Amino acid sequence: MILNLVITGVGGQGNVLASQILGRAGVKKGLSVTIGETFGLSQRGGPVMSHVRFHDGRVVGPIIPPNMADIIMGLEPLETLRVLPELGRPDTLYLVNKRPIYPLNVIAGDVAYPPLEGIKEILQENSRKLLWVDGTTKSMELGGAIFLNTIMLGALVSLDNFPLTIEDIEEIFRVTFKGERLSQNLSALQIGRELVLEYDQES
Amino acid sequence: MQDHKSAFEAIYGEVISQGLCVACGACVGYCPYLEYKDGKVVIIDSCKVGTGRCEAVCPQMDILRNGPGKAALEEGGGYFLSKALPKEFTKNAQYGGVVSAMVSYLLSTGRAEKAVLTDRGGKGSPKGVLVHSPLEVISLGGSRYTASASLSALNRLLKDGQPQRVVVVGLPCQMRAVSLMEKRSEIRSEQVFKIGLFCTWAMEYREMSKLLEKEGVLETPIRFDIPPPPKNIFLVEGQRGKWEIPLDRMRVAIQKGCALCPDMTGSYADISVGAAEGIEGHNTVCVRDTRGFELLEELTQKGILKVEALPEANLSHLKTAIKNKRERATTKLKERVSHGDI
Amino acid sequence: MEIYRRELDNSKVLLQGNEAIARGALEANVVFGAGYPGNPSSEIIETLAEAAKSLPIYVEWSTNEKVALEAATAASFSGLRSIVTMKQNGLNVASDFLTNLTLSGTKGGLVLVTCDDPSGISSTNEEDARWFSRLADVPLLEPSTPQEALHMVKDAFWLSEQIQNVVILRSISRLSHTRADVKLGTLPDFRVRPYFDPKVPFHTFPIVPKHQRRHEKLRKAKEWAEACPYNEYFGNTEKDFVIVSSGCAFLYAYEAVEDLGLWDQVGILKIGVSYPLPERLILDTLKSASKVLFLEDVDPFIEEGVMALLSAHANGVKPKEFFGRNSSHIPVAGETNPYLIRRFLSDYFGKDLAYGEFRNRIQKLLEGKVPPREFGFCPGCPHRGTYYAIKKALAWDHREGFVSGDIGCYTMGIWPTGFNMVKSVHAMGSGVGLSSGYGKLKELGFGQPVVTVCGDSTFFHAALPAIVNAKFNNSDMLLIVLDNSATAMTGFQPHPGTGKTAMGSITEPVSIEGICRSMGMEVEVIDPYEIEESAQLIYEFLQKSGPRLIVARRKCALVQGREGGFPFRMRVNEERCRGEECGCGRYCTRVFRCPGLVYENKKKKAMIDEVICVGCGICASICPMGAVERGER
Repeated sequence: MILNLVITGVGGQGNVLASQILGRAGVKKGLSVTIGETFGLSQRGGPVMSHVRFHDGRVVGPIIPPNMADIIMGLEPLETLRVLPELGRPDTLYLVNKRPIYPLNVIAGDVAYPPLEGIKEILQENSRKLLWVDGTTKSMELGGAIFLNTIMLGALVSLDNFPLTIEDIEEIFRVTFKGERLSQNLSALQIGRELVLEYDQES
Repeated sequence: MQDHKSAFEAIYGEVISQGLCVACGACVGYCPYLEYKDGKVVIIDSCKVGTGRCEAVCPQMDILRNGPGKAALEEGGGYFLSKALPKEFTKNAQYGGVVSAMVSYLLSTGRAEKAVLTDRGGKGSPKGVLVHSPLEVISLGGSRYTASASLSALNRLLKDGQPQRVVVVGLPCQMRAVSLMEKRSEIRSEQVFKIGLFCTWAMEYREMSKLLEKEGVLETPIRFDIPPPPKNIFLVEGQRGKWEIPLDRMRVAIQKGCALCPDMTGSYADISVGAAEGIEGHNTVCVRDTRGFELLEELTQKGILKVEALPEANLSHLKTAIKNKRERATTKLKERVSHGDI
Repeated sequence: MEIYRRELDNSKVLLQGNEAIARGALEANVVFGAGYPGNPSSEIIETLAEAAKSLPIYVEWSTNEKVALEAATAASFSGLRSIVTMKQNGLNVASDFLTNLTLSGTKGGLVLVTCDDPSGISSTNEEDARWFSRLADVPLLEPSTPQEALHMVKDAFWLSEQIQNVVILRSISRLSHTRADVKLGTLPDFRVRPYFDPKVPFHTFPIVPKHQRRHEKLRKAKEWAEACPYNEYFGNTEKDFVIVSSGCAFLYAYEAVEDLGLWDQVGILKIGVSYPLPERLILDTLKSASKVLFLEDVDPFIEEGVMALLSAHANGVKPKEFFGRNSSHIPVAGETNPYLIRRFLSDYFGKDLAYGEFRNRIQKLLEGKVPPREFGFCPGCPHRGTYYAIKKALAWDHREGFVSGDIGCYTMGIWPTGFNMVKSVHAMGSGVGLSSGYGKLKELGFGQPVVTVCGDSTFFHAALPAIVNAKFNNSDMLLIVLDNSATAMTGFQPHPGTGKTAMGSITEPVSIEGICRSMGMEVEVIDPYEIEESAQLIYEFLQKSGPRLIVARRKCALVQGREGGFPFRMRVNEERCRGEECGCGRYCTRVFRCPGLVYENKKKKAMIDEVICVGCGICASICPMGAVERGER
């Protein structure tokens, strides 16, 4: 058994923390986990990507081999599009937060951000399934952009056949956060779950 | 694809990078790209706006593209000898105190709400200031002999929409710039009273400061003067002393762009004021339009100015000087055209 | 992860590579740790420092890597086990002491961890620090996984004491920042009796015998390498096509052979002790091979070692074809990755790469449509303000001045986010050394002013000698220390100026201004958020001569964010905003480029991105129309 999950986004979106939570939940559940993280200079507003691999203890590297992602969770649309050719394949599932974070060269007007509808279309046509959600708005409603990663985690673990459940994540949260932070993050998980349920009902 | 230059590329390529900028300040203070610092108009960043104001109001660009322009005195104008009578105006004055008297009067009668003047500098070069109190006007009298981009103060007003009534005191290049602003309807002619200052050239502040330091002037001078020929000296007066520097030693500080200027008296002004050669404590005044005559008359009636006819010798000297400057500039301009610089 | 908790003994937990190294050191009874922060090595000392709050061990951030190695060596000379950590560039700094130390030898186990950064993900180069093991004649271990790293560190301490010399453990970014499930061992009681025996001095004399002795130690290490479990052959018994590989490249190779179904044609020799190489194992494995492919990061280090070994035994060895970085079958530069390995193997063995067509089709479809994400300072970053002020001051100055830079977040001054101000970046502190040189060029007719920037941590690390040099030689050097009160780039580690040590104890801060003032330098402090005032002061300082210092002081925005955030809620007054018109030309978004300020193309107005903006308020002072307003939070 192996499940290759890519989490991609922009520095500051909580990508690394999300992968860490998943990893800890996985290990707690008795799975073997290997997570490769790319950060460094890219911490500062650049692309950040985690490769999370749940498996049965075989020899695996920290980089998912070319076009071998089972699930790609995009915290940002452009970053999701960016990894499509290298990691995606026709039966990859995409869970994408549709709120863009504009690169500086787009802000400056040097280059254009591709139209969101276009990104959505390309992802839809070249995947098994696309869940295109508005996690950022939900996060801002909850109290700020910092809950986005938890909302997306809640959505992720609510996908069919995902090896972890929302309860597994909650268990890790209970030893990671305290007080208001804990209750906010628990709510964020539920919001994520509802995003997936609503999405499935709509489509 | 843009096949023409952006405004910024034009003003940078044709004027600033060519060393032809005379630091009038017409392009300064309106946008974040161009600033004035200690004698120089400098580029902070490059701008991509296609048609821009900087290009349209630049007097040097106007000369390069449209030639020397208006003559010094058109029909109906006249030259006079004048001086301010109240002591407060002559105290700080370079010569007859006429400019201070006029500006002060315009402000105190409400005919102008603000005056665009040049301060005395201090930490750095003199700069443009907006003045509304007549008293403040008096403290700013006297020639600077350096360009100070004082029109940046006018731009600060223009940025917030049209000012009501303003008087601008400036060099001939600045008078040309203000007339270009009028042409662009940035400001209506009746809203701006233009007082020109006679000028054959201005020095670049940093170069001048360097030269003065070399000459032993280690303080911010209070007063400069160039006495009439054949003396050929540059007089500097400070707190700690007076210096007489041979004018030729100072000439390297003259702005290169001044050679292109055909205008000695500020032909685009309502009234221009300069020295009266050989007549101490007096100014030569050149009046060009009705508004100018009215002001002069009013000030005479109120006993603020004494006005008389300019002696024939002075007039003929002045006319020769005006003619020479225009001719020199025209030749310079032709040279640039033949070199393909334009 | 609280890896120092004894309840975790013998359990399986998720550990980062660097945490595994730290845990391995703790299990090996390490009692002294020192290092200098640098990606990707920083988390080792951070983890140990956290442990030191509960365990009887000592851990410090030193001012630089050489000092760190020296401090750790004191523990070794006193019979204690110590670990010292750094990134590849840091080993250059430490190397002067290292090549002497390895002549004198050590006593208590001393393990030097270097974390290299193939492809230079967060470095100024992708230097392969493994060569230092040859230079210093000491063993080099290369783990592939966090689990192996934990075991290897423990063995490294043992080996160091066996041979009485330093052992280098080499990680790379990919491993240091990998997280994986790791089975822990048990923590010791950390009881030690430090004692320096005056009868046994440590020095390098007489040199030649000491050098000989160093090689004897190496021979001993080689014996251990032959039998240790870190070098292992996987695959068929034919051994005709053998991949020789180390580190993460081994994992990629293993997975690739598995996925491409090549086990019947290909074998893999995993190398865990890269120096001295396990000679017998290599000769046995490669004796009959006709093809050998080398996969390692970054230089052909093992490749050349193996080739030298094979030529020394050419008689009994079958002639071979070699593939690797030397033969250009693997690119000579850059990190080894699964894609390039699979490309090579699939081409060579005529196999199809899975989803190759899909990949090509999508690549074509997206060509030119995915703009790169430009690096940028965070919203609220004081460096943006400082560079903006420098830019202004140099424009005012008008003598084609430029900035000589250094390493840290502020290296991004080479890009538009720092207005492309920085024109040179090399080693820590080198910007200052360069500037002490520029400052003397005036005498040779050089007319351009130079501003040199360095971070607060860099100031202590390597800038100080250059500053003293500038003072000593009366160089016209203008130094701006970008003091954001943290080693921000690598994760906010404390440094001598912060008043806190790695273990969290309070210490008297070393004053940057104080040091420079005591040397007689003119010193001023500016606030990077006050752009105009800062620019004016920098401009005035540019006109002066001799060595002089400006401290641009503002807390790192990320730290400020954690400590209660910023005062403003920014808004754009749309009536005042000029947008693309003359008088502005999208100045804030086009030039200032803060990620929190975006441009609304339809309205043609600037707009605050509420998700990104932190409310520092700098942008209010750069808007030519005063349209960006500071509201209350």
